[in-house]
Amino acid sequence: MDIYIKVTDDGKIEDIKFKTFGCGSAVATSSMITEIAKGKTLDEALRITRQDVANELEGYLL
Amino acid sequence: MAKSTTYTKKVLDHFKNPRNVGTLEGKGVAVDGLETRYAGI
Repeated sequence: MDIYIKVTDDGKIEDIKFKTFGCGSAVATSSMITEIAKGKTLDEALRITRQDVANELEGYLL
Repeated sequence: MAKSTTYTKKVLDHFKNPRNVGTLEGKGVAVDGLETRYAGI
């Protein structure tokens, strides 16, 4: 998995993309991480946790 | 009781329609993966 970020001069993530060759869960979590991180500062993005991603995905399994 | 193996609707949605797939290039772009390989900043 690779994650690309474009950062503005004031440290915000202006654009973010990912590539992964993982399983379905890897695709889904990568996709959600990019949604959460876009528009955040680098410091804010570094504080994103696995739990944050799981919460946004409403868990992984029903 | 057996564990569920059914993904949530949101997981399936992001799997079937992943957001922000691709790459970026140019000034102000950094990439991180299993190892940091490039920083175009």
